[in-house]
Amino acid sequence: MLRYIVRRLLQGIVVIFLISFMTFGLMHLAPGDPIHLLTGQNNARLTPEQLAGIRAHWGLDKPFHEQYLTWLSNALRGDFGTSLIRRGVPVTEMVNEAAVVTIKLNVISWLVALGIALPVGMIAALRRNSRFDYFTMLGATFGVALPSFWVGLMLIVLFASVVQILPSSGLTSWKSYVMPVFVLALDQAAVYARLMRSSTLDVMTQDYVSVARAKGLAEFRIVLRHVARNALLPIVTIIGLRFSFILSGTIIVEQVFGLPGLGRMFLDSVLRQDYQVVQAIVFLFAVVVVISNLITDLAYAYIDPRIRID
Amino acid sequence: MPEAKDRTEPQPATASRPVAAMSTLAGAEHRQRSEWRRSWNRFARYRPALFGLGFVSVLLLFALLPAVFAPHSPTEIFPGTRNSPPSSDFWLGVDNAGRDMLSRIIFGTRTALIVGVFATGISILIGMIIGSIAGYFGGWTDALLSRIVDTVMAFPILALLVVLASVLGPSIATITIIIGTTFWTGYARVVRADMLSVRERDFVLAARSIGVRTPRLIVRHMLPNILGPVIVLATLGIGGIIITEAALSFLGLGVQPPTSSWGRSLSEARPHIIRYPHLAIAPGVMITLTVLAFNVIGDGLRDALDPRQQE
Repeated sequence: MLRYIVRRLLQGIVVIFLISFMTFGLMHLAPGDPIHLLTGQNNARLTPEQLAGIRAHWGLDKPFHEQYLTWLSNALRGDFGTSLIRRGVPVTEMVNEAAVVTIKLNVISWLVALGIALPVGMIAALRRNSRFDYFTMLGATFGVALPSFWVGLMLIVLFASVVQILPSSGLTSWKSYVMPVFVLALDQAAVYARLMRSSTLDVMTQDYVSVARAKGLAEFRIVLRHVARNALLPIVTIIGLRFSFILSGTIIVEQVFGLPGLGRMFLDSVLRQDYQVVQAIVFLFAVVVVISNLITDLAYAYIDPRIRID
Repeated sequence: MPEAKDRTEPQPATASRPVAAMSTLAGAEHRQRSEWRRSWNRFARYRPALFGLGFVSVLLLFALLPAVFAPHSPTEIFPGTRNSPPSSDFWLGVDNAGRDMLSRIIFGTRTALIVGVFATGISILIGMIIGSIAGYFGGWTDALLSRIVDTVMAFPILALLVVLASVLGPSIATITIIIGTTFWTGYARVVRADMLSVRERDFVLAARSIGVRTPRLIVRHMLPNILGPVIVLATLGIGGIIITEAALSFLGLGVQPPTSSWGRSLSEARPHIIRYPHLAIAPGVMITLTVLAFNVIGDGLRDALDPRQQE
């Protein structure tokens, strides 16, 4: 087991390294010279010597691999440089501030999604072909197909314009989280509910469920002890895999609702070529994804002792 | 219980496909045809899939002959009609620039389908190549390629697309190519896993023993045996790609004006959403229905082509 953990950790580090290298390379391929961002309107008035001085100060005169190694060694010590747009503000500070919003948004919507989807999916499976099953699965099928940005716009029309009970944009109070959380949770809940239903149906046909029934165990006991625990297995894997969707989801939702989180900061920074910030955010997410995948695998092995990973 | 019924049926996938490869035999051809018929019956039993097929056919007509169905040109500006609600001249109203919304929706079908189909094609191609090489050769080749797959999967997809689109300059061609080159990991995984099991089958050994070269063995003998899951995955994936195109266009990083795209129409409607909400309804409904249609076709195909693997 320990060997497995160490091996997965090393693989994860390779993945993080590759991702940071890819991002760094991509941002360097971008058209336009970051020097223009640094000097702004004064560009024309600066002498070539002054420009060269600014380049040297930011390390932009060095070859690509040297720039990357400098960045990497700083990043490993937690120093992601300073923003090119918001001059002098450390990237770490900006990211920390925005991360609070994004973490709140994602953790709440994740809990909401699981809290709704797991019981709903299980009940749908237990009452297969009932009206409840039919309507919740119809809802889930639509939930997967609905584009989150459109749902967001429609909610804004409904709750910020028709009935004015929620703010349409920005972060003012807890109310600002209601619609974004709903939008993020909808998509996830749809996926989890469908999965929970089919996974429960699978488990129901297993011999040990028939045995439990034959023993005369109460139905709720069978469901909770034998069915629910085993049906959760595939969900655990999917939750881990879906971690890489989180930034994707928050980019859109934070944009639609104007929330000052990582997703919006990422989009702004890409469009304005503030590549220090872009690199820091992508690096952070790669780390989160790799760690969550590792935890998923370990949780899987822990919940289901039958799985021998090595 | 449809599942139970499927299980009692003979497994056509394992029994007849290697034979079907030698389709000059009359008996084999007959058996192949009835296999298709059985698949079609399984597909048609799932009625939402038939709805999906009908809807996608309409979309195909729109995409191929938009000018026949659109009442106006998608770029023609009608002065004095900006933001007007649906009327007999403009069934879905007029957008903020004064263009007919219905015509823009119909022409937008073309954008959605072009990106959906071509990006899927690119990802299938890349995924098949990487997956079959990893699955067939195994060992360190597999380890290396699997690490690359892990890396692309760990990358937040939309973040990667946003970076690529802004670096390469957004257009319908770049969008198609960048989506195609980032969505292939699912295919690579499925093809790799299936290649690992197909590799052990007797017909592969037989083909190898009569001297079939490796590339031909992979392409002509092994890949046809794993097409079912790939087709299912592709159909289920098109919806996701269409949403992604719409999302990028919504963020301003997709197709550029004056090309119509449903995501673009939503992005143009957004600043005026409180005063003119009707402009945001039709594009969203079209995206939802299109994605829904492809998803239910995919579900039907899964029942038809891959009866062992029910969701």
